[in-house]
Parts: sequence; structure tokens; C-alpha cells
Amino acid sequence: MSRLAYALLGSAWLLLSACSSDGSSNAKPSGALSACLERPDQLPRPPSGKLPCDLIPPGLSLE
Amino acid sequence: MQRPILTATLAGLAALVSSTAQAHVSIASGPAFANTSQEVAFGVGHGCEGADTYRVQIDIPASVSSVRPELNDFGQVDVETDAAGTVVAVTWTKSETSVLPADSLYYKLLIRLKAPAQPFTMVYLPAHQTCRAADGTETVVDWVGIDEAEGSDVEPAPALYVLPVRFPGWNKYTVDNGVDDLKGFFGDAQIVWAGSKAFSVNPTTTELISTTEGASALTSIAAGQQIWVKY
Repeated sequence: MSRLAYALLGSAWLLLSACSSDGSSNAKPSGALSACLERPDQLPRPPSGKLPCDLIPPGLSLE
Repeated sequence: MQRPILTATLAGLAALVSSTAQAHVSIASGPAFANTSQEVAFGVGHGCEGADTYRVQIDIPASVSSVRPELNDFGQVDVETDAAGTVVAVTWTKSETSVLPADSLYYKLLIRLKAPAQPFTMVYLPAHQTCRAADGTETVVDWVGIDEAEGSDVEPAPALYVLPVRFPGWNKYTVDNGVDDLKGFFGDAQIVWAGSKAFSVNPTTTELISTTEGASALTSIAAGQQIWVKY
């Protein structure tokens, strides 16, 4: 295989790895909503002294 | 420290036993949904002074429609109608031979009915319980009391809580009539909000309401108020 072919293969690999699942080019905006399974750090936790957000109705802001 | 807990537990048990013992004929199927046909169950928790229940009659108020009792193995079912053909009473009667010598069973009697289109109200269905002792003596207990004063001798009528149709998750309602009995109407809700006031039957959630800044306890709902309820 010629050097040109190796160079083309290497370039293709670099291009594919740039779009792979590490999230660099497919990453969602940080504020995007996704399923809870995708956000295990945001799953419901035992009560911590105040009402969890899922028990606050739409439009209500407590201060 | 253990004694107060034990005392409170015994007091709670006594209250539970007391209320259960008093409620011989009551609604055993939870709240009904307004303007919807559904099964309503009447639980007969006890007979009369040790005698088995022989007959149960349920009076149907005018606000309830589409009444159809379900057959069950308690006994024969009879429907009483008025001149217009509207069902005004349903009666279940045991056969003579199936009356037990003692009060040992719990009975559940079912009617499919359509609750009135009046959410956040209560429908009273007076009941008449006839018991028959081993010697053939019959006793009738009328469960007909509606909004009786504390200590009244009149036994309470089975009370059906009527709620609006709901869906899992958040539900937004406007309450036409004021609601004081939050536990009765929202006993199976996760939480109820009216403005920044909230109510829950769950003791943990109730405590969180009290410790959450900006939130306070909801004790009643005024007529015309908008509420959020999560199921």
C-alpha cells in the first residue's frame, strides 16, 4: 500500500474519531433535557430538608 | 423516651380500632370521579352485637345516576325504582340458610354508578343494615347521619368523595366549592398546592413543606381558588 493510501486512511480515522461518542462534536448543550437514565446524578434523592423540585408545581417559584 | 412513643402508638391504635368499629357500612373503594360511571364498593365491616348481617339496603340519592348493582355471593340483589324508573334503592339479602350463627365475615357489595358532575363534593348514600341473630332476632341499624354533630347517636351514612377526572402527574383545577377536608379529598395525592401553600398526607412531605423556605401548610381551600395536584 502506498504512502498516500496510508495517509488517506489515517485522515479518515482522525475524522471519524472526532465525531465519535466522546461527545466532542455530538455533545448536547449543557442545558438540554434528556432522560433520567442519561443523568444519574440528577435522579431523585432522599429528602434533604426541603421539597424536591418534582413536588413544586409548574410556574411556582419559592423564595 | 420509649413510654411516650408507646402511649402515642396505643392511642393511635385505639383511635383506629374505634373508627373501624364504628364504620359498619362505609365506602370501601375510595373517591369517585365526577360525571363518570364507576364501581363503588360498600364494605360491611361488622354485624350487629355479634349477629351476622342479613340484609343491606343502600338508598340512592337523586344526584347519582346509571345505577347497576353487581351480583355477588352475599345473596339476592333487588333494585327499587320510582315511577319514572329511576333506581332509588338497592338491597342485598342473604338466603335464610346462609345466615351465619356469628358475626365473623367482612362483606363487600358493589354498585356501578355515575357520580354527579360536581367535583370536590360529597355524596351520601344512606345504608340500612339488618342483622339476624342465631335465635332469629332481627336488628336494624340505620347508617343515615349526614354532617352530624360530634357525639351524635345517629350513625354516619357512607360518604362518597367526588373528585374531578385526573391523570398521573400534575393536574390543575379550580375549586368551585370550598374544601376543608383535605385528607378526605386528597388522601391519595402526592401533594396539593394553592398558591405557596401545600398539603400532603405523607408525613415526610408534610415536614418538608414546613422546612421549605417560602412554602407553608395548606389547611383548607377557598371557593374559586386554583390548585395544582400531583398524583
